[in-house]
Amino acid sequence: METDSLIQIKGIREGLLISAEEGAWEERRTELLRLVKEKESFFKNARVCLEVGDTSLRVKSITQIIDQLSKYEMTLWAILSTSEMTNNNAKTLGLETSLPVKKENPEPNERIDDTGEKAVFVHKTLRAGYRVEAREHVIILGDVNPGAEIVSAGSIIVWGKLRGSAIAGMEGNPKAVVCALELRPTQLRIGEHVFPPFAKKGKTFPEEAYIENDECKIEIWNKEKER
Amino acid sequence: MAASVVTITSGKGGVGKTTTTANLAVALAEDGYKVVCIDGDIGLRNLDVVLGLENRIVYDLVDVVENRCRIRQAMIRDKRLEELYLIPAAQTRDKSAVSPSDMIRVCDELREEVDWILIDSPAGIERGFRNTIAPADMILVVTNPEVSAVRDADRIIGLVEAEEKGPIKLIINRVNPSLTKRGDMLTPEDVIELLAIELVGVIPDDENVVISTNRGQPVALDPKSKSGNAFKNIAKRMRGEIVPFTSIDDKGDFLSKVAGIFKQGGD
Repeated sequence: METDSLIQIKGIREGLLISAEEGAWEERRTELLRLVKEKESFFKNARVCLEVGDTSLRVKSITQIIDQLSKYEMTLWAILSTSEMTNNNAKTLGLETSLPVKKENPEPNERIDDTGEKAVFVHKTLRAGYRVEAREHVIILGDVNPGAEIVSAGSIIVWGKLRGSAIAGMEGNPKAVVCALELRPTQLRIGEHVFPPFAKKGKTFPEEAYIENDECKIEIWNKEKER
Repeated sequence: MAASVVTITSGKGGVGKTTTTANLAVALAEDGYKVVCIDGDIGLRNLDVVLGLENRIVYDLVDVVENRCRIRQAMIRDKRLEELYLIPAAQTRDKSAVSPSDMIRVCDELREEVDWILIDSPAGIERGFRNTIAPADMILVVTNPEVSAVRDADRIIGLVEAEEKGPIKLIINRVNPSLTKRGDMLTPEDVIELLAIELVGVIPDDENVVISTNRGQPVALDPKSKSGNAFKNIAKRMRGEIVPFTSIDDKGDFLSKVAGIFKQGGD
């Protein structure tokens, strides 16, 4: 609908996609709020995905825009950006950072050559409230604390302690596995299968969780083993 | 010297933020520093009660921010300690009465006049929390050895890290040696292992804290109090002094395991 040098708005399946990629952030924000105010009834109750280009936004700036939009009963649910800082901050605040990919795609893990598949690599400890969601495999170098969550269409590997929630093979990939140096998740799912609760105490080993003949299996990691 | 701004926060309510703020302020003021505490819990003020200054409030933080008074007029001087001041929160307003930039402005104005500015953060991760984090040079996260408090502390640490604020340091409050020994409570080691930030103090569970809080007499004023001394040690560590962490075991034995964990910086 509205076309403007700073702000473009279009309707998408998930609600409104508002693109504000150029110019100073403050100007874009002011302009957006002006547009919203002008057509308050149109924007009311809208679910908004905001595209900000390579702008680096602090948590403060993001919470500010969330608050301001909420005054018009609009919900900001996603921020699309090429800035890593913006993405991380958006995730910290529980926002999505990508639009959901259509489910028709049968191959969740694009092969990049004969031997490998794509993965998302996160080099930090995931604290409570942090969520990593990816269609690719997920590799965490760090701990996953209780209250943090990983969702992947593929496998999840944690080089650290996995104590939060992990959902692998979320679209029903039975070959997905979950490995961690210490496997003590709050909840573990592979596809449809929910693993029984894990003991909180006791000695731990690097372990691998997988599904075999529709059953949840956990094995101590052993590189000699061929499955 | 320009003051350091230290924000005391926790995520979860009731873990002892206000008590910690009051006692650290008393401990620093006793050592001759000029200290201002700011109650960041607008609408639910109680730092004034814990410090025993409730009946002397004329102006508050919102009055300063909205230019109804000068900052000096809102600073209530403590009766016991010359160099201890409180800027109370407004009781009749809410968190939106103050913005993060207001807090930065107020602290910048105070910086040249005092040595320490301690800000008592409200519970939660919303506006009030953001306000108190904005001006901070150092963040002290207070937690109890309970799963829910530690979970919230972890979330808070994540948010502070995302704001690129710090250093972030940890205070474990209300540790009960007999419960931890029976395995009915998380040990300080468990908490540190999960949160993975620097420890500056462990405060024993002490019913005198409740009594002194109700009387408006912080335990740090009592030289014989165990918890009061734990607060004094934190104040020393905040200034960069190296104070060995002693055990909080009832019988006074030194837990070697605890000493091992704490050797990088701790109690």
